[in-house]
Amino acid sequence: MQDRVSIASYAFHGLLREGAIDVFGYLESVKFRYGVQADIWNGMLPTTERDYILKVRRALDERGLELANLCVDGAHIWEDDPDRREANYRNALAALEAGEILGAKTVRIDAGGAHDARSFTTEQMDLIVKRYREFAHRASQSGYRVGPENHWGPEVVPENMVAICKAVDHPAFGVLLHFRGDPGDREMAPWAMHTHLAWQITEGPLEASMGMLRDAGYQGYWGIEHHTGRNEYAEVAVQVARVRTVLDRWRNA
Amino acid sequence: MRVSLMSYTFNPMTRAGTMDCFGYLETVRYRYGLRTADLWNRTLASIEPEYLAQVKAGLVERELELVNLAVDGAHIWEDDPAVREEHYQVALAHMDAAEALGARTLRIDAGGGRDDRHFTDEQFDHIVMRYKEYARRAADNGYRVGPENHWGSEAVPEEMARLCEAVDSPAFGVLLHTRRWFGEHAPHGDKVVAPWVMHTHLTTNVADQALAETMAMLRDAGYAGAWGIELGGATYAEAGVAVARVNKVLEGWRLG
Repeated sequence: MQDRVSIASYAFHGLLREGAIDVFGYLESVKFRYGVQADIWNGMLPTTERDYILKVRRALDERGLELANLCVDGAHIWEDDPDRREANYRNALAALEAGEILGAKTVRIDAGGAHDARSFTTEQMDLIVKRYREFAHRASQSGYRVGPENHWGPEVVPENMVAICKAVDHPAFGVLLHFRGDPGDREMAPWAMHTHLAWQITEGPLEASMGMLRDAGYQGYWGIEHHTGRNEYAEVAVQVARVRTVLDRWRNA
Repeated sequence: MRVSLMSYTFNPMTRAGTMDCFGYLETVRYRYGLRTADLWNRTLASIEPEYLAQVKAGLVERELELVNLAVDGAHIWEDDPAVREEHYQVALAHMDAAEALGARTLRIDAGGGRDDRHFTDEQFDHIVMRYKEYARRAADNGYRVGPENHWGSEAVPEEMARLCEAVDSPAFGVLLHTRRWFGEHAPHGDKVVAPWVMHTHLTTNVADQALAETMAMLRDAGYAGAWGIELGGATYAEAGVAVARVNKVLEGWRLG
């Protein structure tokens, strides 16, 4: 069976900023340079207009690629300002529609709240859970999973994330586990729907992190993410090779 | 032996916004396993130095050699002197671009009327003067420049040969688009200009034997450039077939 490895397109955000890659070039890279699957950050999609998203879908199909995850910024559920909250909700619905056209296996939409907050208020929690239930219900109709990443604000505190998971309590809900290499990874493992393996993990506790998740029953993709914005093709190649080494070792164990 | 795939091949994708220059570089390097890039100037979003530096970095990162830059909109002869001067400036700008990108060859057409089959003396003198100027500059920078048998009088074999003899510079050459000639000598056009060929656009809508014969004729005439392929708008799969067919000819030569 082919390795379930993907590269988050955010890994090439430096090239994107310079105008030296677009989503179609990214798809060429993942398919032909790295031989992995697609994992699209919405920052690489200039629009969610249907015609454009259909072009991306055709490009996925032409290359025989699966979309492991659609990672959505700008659609987090909680914003203090009701107008911004509503605008984000609209963005989330548009992203879910895009994810469905693209055949995404998982969609990440953050929970929100203040960037430096470390807990959710009751009001925040109630809306966040309500929305994730709504999103998960929709996702279950189309056969994918949706949920937050331990990304920023209160959702980076494992207990908060576990509380959301337990409250939403839906099989089409899951967590994009951005490995931090700490005990929090294990707490979120039962709900992991997708992963981000950053440089500090691929050059650090990689096998322990992946092994922990595999042993927790994880069946999703090993998503590689890179953050420096420099020498991205070569840096990402190192990370892909590290992950493949672990998978190879497991196969031959 | 180097094979290249001209970016015009993917022109429909570029127009649809699904392939930019960087995606093209990724495609030739990693989808087709080529070590060459072969650019049509309209695959470039601009010829501003900053953008060209990014494209150059894209070539270097992928270890690709730019075997040709084919420029539309810079042909030498236009009847209107103002338009002619405009084209001259476009040509100079693209020589800058070719040099920034490290192109091995640069195609700038001769011009004249699309349906012309003979250069007038005035056209010919001016065209030769410009190619001599371009060739001097190309020689100083280690590349070759010249027309393609593309359209108008330059697509008539004896007119192209006359031009080559008049320019008479080692830094001048012909981009041979195989089997695309007009006039009485059209069937032999490829052979007529073979001594001056600097790059190719191989036509692949011919039988295997005809493709192999054309390539062998060029090889025997001393052609040592890249085997450039151009399709007039193809799917990835169709382009893959063209590359495979040219590779098959080269493999046949290697294995004897």
